[in-house]
Amino acid sequence: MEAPSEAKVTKRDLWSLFFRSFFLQSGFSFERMQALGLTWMFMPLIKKFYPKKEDRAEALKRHLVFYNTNPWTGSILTGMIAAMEEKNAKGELGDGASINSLKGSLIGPLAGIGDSLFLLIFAALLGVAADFSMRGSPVGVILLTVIVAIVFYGGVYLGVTRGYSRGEAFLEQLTGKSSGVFLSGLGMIGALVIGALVGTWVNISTPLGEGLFQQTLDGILPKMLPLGFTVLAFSLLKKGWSAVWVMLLLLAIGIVGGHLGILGTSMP
Amino acid sequence: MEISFLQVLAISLVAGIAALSELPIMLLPPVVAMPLFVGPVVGLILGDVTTGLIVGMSLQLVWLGLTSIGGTVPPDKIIGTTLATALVIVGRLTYEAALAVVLPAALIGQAFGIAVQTINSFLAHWADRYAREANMGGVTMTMWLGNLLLFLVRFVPVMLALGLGTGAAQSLVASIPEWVTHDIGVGGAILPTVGFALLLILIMKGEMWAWFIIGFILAAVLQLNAIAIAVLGVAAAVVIARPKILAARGRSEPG
Repeated sequence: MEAPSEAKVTKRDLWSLFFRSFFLQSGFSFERMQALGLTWMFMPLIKKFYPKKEDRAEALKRHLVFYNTNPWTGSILTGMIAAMEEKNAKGELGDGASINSLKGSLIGPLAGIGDSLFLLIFAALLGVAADFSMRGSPVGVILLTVIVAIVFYGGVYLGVTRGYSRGEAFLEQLTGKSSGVFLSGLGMIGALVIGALVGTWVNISTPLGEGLFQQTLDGILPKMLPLGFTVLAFSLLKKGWSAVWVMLLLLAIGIVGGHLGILGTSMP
Repeated sequence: MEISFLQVLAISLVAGIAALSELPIMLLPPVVAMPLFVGPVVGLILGDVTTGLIVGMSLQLVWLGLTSIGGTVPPDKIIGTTLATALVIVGRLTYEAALAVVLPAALIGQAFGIAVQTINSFLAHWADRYAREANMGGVTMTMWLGNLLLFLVRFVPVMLALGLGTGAAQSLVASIPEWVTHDIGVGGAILPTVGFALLLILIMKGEMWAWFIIGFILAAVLQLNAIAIAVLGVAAAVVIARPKILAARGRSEPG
C-alpha cells in the first residue's frame, strides 16, 4: 500500500453509501451474489481513498468476492466496512485482508437476524392488511407499505451511520438482552396473527354428504380443516421434511381430494 | 372488455418495476413486488381496484406457500399476479381458473429468473477483468446489464401475453377442462397453510403454540377481525414483556 491519503469518510459519503445500499442486489448471480452490488456501493469511496490505479484495482478485487447477507441488517456491516476502508487507506490495516475476514464472519449472523426479524414484522402486518384487502379496502396495503418503508429505510440508515461510527457496540445492542425480550414479544404477536389468518382466510371445507359433514365439523370447531392442514404441514417440517416436499404433498392432497369430492373450497 | 395498448404497456411496466424492486433496486420498498400490492395496482390501471385487492391478497397467501421451492430463486410471483389479476378483471375469470394461470406462470418465471442469475455469473467474470484494469465504469456496466435482463424477463412475457389480447388468453383458459381448474383451485387453497407453517417454524419456541391457538380461536370461533386481534396481541405482549425488561435493565445499560 502506498503512502496514506486524505482519507476521511464524510457525511456526504455516508449518504452516498446509504443511497447505493439499495442496489446491493444488482447483478445478483449464484457465484458472487451481492458482490457486484457491494463493489458498486463502495466505488465513490474507493475513488476517493485510492488515487493510484493498482490500489483501486486491489480494492475492487477485494470487494468482488462472494458476499451475501440481508440488505436491511447488513447495512451495519456496510458502515463497518466503510470505517475499515478508511483505516486501510491510512495504512493502518496492513494488507486489507482483515476487511474480508470481517465480512466472512458477519454476513451469516446478520442474514439470520435480518431475515427472521423482517419476516416476523411482515407476518404481523400481513394479518391486519389481509383483513382490509379482502374487504376491498386499500387501507391495509397502504399501511403495510408505509410501515415497511419506515422500518426498512430507517433501519438501513441507522445501520450505515451507526455501523460506521460504533459498529461493534451497535451489534452488541442488537443481540443483547432487551432485544431478546423484544423479539419474543414480536414472535408472540406473530404467532397470534398467523393463528388468526389460518382461522379466517384459509378456505378449505368438505363437500361430503352435501355439506352435512362440514356442518358437523363446524359444530365441533369451525375451520378445523385449515387448522388440521397447518398442523400437518408444521409437523412434517419439524420432522425435517424439506419445504418443497411438504408443499408438493399438500398440493397433491388438495388436487386429489378436490377431484374425489372430499375437499373443496368455500370460496365464491 | 378489451385492454388498450396503453394499459398493456402500463401493466408490463408495473411488472418490470416490481421485478426490479424485489431484488436489484430496492429504492421502492420490497412490498411493491408482492401480489398484495401488484394486484391493486393492476386493478387501478384497469379500473377495478377492489377486485385487484382481493385477487392480490388471495394470491399473496397462496404464494406464501410457494416460496418454499428453490433456494435463491423462488417461484415468480410477478408475472403470475399481473396476468391473473388482469384476466380476472377483464376476462371475468373465476379465482380458481386464475390459480391455474398463476402456478405454471410462477414456475416458468422462476426458470427465467434462474437463467438471469446464471448469466449474471458470466457478467461477474467480465467485471473481474474490468476490475484488474481499475475500470470502474466497466464494472458498473456489468451490474446494470444484469438489471436490464431481469427487467426484460418480466416485462416482455407480460407484454406478450396481454398484448396478444385477453380474448386469446380467455379462450386458452376456457379450453382447460373445468375439473382441472376446480382441482387446482382446491390445491391452491391448501397452499397458504404451508406458508403459514413455514412462518411458524421460524417463530415457534416453547409457549408460542398457545398464542397460535389463541389467535385461531379468536378468529375462527369468536370471529374477531385481525386488527382487534393484533391490538390484543400488542397489549398482551406489553403485559408480559414489561417485567422481563425491567428485570433485564437491572443489570444492563439503559435501552
